[in-house]
Amino acid sequence: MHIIVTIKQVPETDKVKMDPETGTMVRSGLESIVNPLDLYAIEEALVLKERFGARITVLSMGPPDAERALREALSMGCDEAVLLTDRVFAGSDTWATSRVLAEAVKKIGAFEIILAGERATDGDTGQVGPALAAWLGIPVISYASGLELFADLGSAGAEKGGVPFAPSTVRARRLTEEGYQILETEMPCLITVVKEIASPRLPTLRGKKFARSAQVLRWGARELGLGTEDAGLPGSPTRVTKIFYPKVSRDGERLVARDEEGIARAVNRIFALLEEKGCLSSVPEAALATAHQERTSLYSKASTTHENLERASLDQEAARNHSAAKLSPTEPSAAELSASSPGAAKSAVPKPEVWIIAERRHVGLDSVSFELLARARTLADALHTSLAAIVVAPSLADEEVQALIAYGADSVIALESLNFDDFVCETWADALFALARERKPDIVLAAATTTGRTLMPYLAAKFGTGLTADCTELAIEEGTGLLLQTRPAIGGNIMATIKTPKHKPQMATVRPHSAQPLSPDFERKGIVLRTQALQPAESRAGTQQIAVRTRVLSMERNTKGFENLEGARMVVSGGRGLKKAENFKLVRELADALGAVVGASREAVDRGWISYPHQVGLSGKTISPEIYLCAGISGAIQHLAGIRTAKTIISINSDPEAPIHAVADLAVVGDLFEILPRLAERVRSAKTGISTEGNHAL
Amino acid sequence: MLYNRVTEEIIRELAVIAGARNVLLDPAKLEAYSHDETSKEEYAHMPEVVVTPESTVAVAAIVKLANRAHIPLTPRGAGSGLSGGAIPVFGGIVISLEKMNHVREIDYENLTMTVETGIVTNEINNLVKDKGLFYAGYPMSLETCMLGGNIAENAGGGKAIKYGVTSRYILGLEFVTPAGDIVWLGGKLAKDVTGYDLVHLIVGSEGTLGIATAAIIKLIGLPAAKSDLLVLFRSPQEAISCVPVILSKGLIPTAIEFMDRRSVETSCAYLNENLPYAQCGAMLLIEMDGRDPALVESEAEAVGDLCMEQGAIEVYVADNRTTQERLWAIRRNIAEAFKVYCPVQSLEDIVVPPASIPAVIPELDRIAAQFGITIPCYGHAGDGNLHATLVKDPEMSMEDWHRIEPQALEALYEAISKLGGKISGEHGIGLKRKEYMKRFMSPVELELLKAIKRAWDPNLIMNPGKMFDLEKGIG
Ligand SMILES: Cc1cc2nc3c(=O)[nH]c(=O)nc-3n(C[C@H](O)[C@H](O)[C@H](O)COP(=O)(O)OP(=O)(O)OC[C@H]3O[C@@H](n4cnc5c(N)ncnc54)[C@H](O)[C@@H]3O)c2cc1C
Ligand SMILES: Cc1cc2nc3c(=O)[nH]c(=O)nc-3n(C[C@H](O)[C@H](O)[C@H](O)COP(=O)(O)OP(=O)(O)OC[C@H]3O[C@@H](n4cnc5c(N)ncnc54)[C@H](O)[C@@H]3O)c2cc1C
Repeated sequence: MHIIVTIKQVPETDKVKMDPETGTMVRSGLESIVNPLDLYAIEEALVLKERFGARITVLSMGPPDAERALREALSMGCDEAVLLTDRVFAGSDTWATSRVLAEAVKKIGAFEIILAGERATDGDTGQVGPALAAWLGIPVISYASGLELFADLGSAGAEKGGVPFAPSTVRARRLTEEGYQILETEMPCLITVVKEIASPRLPTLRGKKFARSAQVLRWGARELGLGTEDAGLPGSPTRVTKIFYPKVSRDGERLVARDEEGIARAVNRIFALLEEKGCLSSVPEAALATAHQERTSLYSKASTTHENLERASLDQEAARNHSAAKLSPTEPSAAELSASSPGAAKSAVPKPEVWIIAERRHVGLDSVSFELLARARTLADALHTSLAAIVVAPSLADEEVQALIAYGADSVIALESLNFDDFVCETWADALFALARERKPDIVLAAATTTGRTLMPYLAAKFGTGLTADCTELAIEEGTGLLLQTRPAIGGNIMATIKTPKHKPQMATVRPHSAQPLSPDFERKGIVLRTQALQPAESRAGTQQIAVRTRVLSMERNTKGFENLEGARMVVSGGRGLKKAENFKLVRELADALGAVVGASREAVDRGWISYPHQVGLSGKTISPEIYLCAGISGAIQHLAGIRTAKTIISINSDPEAPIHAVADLAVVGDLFEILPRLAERVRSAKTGISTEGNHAL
Repeated sequence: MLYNRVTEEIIRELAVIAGARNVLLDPAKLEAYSHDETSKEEYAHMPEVVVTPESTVAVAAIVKLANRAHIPLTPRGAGSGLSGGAIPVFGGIVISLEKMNHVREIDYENLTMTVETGIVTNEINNLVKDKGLFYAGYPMSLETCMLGGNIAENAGGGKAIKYGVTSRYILGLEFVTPAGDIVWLGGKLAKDVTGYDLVHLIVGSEGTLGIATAAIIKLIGLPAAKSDLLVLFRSPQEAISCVPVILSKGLIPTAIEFMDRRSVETSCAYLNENLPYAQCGAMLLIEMDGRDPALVESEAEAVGDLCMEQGAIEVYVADNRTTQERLWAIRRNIAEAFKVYCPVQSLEDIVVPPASIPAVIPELDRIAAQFGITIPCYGHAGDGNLHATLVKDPEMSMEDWHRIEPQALEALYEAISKLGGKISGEHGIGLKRKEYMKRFMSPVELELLKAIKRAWDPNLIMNPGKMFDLEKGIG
């Protein structure tokens, strides 16, 4: 078996410091290391080598110095190393990088598995892996947390009596927002892995000695048959137009809550801050939890244009024109959509749409879909064009269509097929690719979730267009009408604004919870287009094969959600100020109301109020949530060590001198016993309150 | 002779001296100052009041007040001590230096820093790292402890083989005597025999002779290159026996840390870390540093080869910060991990001559078997300084433990003495070991110590009840 592992050399981003005076990054003393997340891919390759026998080639594109990263991989036990280094490659974006890597893989020759880290810690995009798979036309499984190899599809027998065999099928556990997806695919394939998969080994002395004398192949553009326009800046669809530094200082607002009035003010202020940070999902749960409900006449009052509810095939030009006509009745609809710039606003040609790829979960539409709509609405309005929500699903319920329109979509295009029950990158990408070829959208947005971050790079590689990951701001550039995509990079230490000047569609994934959904308008009218896309019989050559290559075997859903402190977006922590074990429930209740994970100081853990895995700090977990709310914690230096990278800190402590207040964005000097229950109540009633309103409107 | 209690009047005076916000009386707040990192159940004692002065003048005035009023005074750094040194056993006033953390001067020509002793030790290194300098005297608890605590305990760290312990880096002290006088001792001098070496009498005096409010510390060049080896052995004995072999070859590692299997396993479980310890009974963590990366690499390799010759199972190499931090985190977190997984324990820091290290392990095994306890062990093997940790087995009752622990400790110290060792290499005597020190120290030496104490602190107000007992009780 031949395994290729792609790795990147990166600066130690967790050590990056910003100079408070100049606002620039302090680069001195930064070491270059193997992307920490790639170490897990290397480790998994080594484990497979030990079990099945394999040859491992590590592959990296980078400056000549990246040879050190490759030698580190060799010293861990990899067999061969290839460094892609050439001036021509400098400045490549993820599209160009994956292209160069694809050429190199072809040159390396036959392989069974390509392993890659989930993402590199500097660029933080996670796009290269799926894009590389698209270039090579092989299946991709992203975010794998476990792998098993079998001799052929379905034969679940492990190594027969310990004798190695030639595997041909990979079964993977894939981490998603909902839990784990169990998938099976054929080799050759590309797998990106998450930390859970393995614990990287250290290089041995023997390995170091081998690595020092081993040969590292060096290939440049010429060796790969690439021209100067094929990589680097000229070969990259995206352009960084601006780099700036996010504000590092904390606002440090302080409230004193000594009396009734002060307490009420504090509760209001905390609530407002949580709301501002998007922590109180304002999407009616009722609108989301309808996926598998029967369609009933209950919704016949709804304002959807019903004539469009019957299933239409995308191939039926008429249906498309019909919908286009509905979207902008003043414009003739027969003309072919072109990928022209929106400068053509006054022409008779219907303008290319803005798309969002809506995201669904087991329970229905995910709130991130509505956030995407809010983003896209602004863009579509600026471009005077229409906004289409694309949904890939086995079937889309009317009330989901309803919700998408109420939250801003002009049209809803449902790609319906039983094949779409669970996310399979190639299958979805094929369907979307066909749809986009027809409709030629100007902009495509998806959520920066495990789905969006896998699907979009795969699609972008197929389109030959650029993609910007994990954007936190989007805007339309005056004059050019181009999409300005702003995203954090280098561990959030800098912000970069990126655009895709010459390629269409312009694609971006958007960080979940970075925007608020619009308030829904259930009177809005829109168009629905349903299509049973890509039935195997009608599919283009190759499609069917891909559809069969990867299949979902099962889903393991997390019913309770992640109790994962490190990955949590919101953490509510309690300390010794809670006084006794029973009181710790105040912290739990607020966390539950918010959907946050519970943390604690060492004092609380030592006293047995909560178990050690919840400890935050030097000897506990280091976390970087969007919101860290802590009550009854003094802010000892060891505790602060764990929350240095928290985005927003809210402290509730009765001691005005408590050090926690000095690092908090919102410091509330007050009694947690007064504040926590009221805050929890407020959050609970806000959530149910909105949902009641929502039901009412429906 | 009896101590007096802290009265309303005294509290008013403290507030005038230090400012009301620096006088803590709230019992909830005082609790944090009632213990250090030794077992709370066994040793904690509440102070009557805590003061957090912000200047040397305030410190001196508080000391004067206490001396005049015969109130016991306990200086305190970060409270990370492991001998109960900062616990106010007689109540009274705790004087915490946490707010005295300013850097007064960094002298790049003399390579010194003048800094108040409430600074967290690791901060010193953060401040000078970019200039290619470092303070080498730091202990493993560097992210927590304060310089004042290091001075008072003469702390030693993981780099002591090559760089020595705290005392080597303390050139001068701003010192408040038990009478409340402020004096500067020592200076930015490489040599100084002008009178008794009071600076180094104070270093290691556990806060019993007065309060160090600022220090002139020596900075040295930060070695550019570093390579760490994690060496796996089948048994603790094999691992430990390798240490004198390395040292006798003229290779000078900065650290040779020993960790037995139980220590590694516990720390790994605590950190959710994974090391390949399946067949391994113990590990050595060896660090080489220097200016020239190639030289460091070849020396590290020489040490690694030597270990393989000595029967090591495997040698792992960490030559970048990420992997190095991974290894050192395991070593640094052992103590914390044991606190979580076996809270009833006694953490020791016995020290023996380097050549006697191999003889320690069989003694530990013998004592463990004799008393029916387990004694996981780790520590600064290169310094002959080991953290044998006496751990209560879950089945043993607390009564049995309380009966057995002192006997086992006594047996341990007895064995160590026979090997030419001492009962504490770096954590100090404090409250925890004073009864034992008495028994393992010659009466003449003990009397010399007491004589110094009486001469410096005739009213016995300065950190009473530590190191040895003198004739004074609670009033
Ligand atoms: C080597 C080492 C490692 C450590 N690692 C960690 C670690 O990983 N994580 C960690 O947390 N600690 C760690 N510590 C311990 C740390 O030093 C502190 O002791 C601990 O963080 C204090 O916990 P706390 O804030 O809950 O308690 P305290 O410091 O006692 O603070 C309690 C706070 O509650 C407030 N309070 C009381 N009543 C109320 C009320 N009614 N309303 C509002 N506020 C109230 C008080 O004003 C006070 O500020 C470590 C210590 C050492 C030595
Ligand atoms: C996880 C862990 C690892 C450790 N590792 C090491 C190690 O590697 N090496 C080592 O030597 N120790 C180690 N220790 C023990 C401890 O950290 C050291 O003894 C440290 O020097 C204590 O510093 P502190 O500021 O916490 O002092 P405290 O505990 O606050 O006080 C210790 C003593 O110093 C006195 N004191 C404090 N400040 C002053 C002052 N300004 N003037 C006069 N007296 C003062 C106190 O009265 C007390 O007697 C470790 C502890 C922990 C918890």
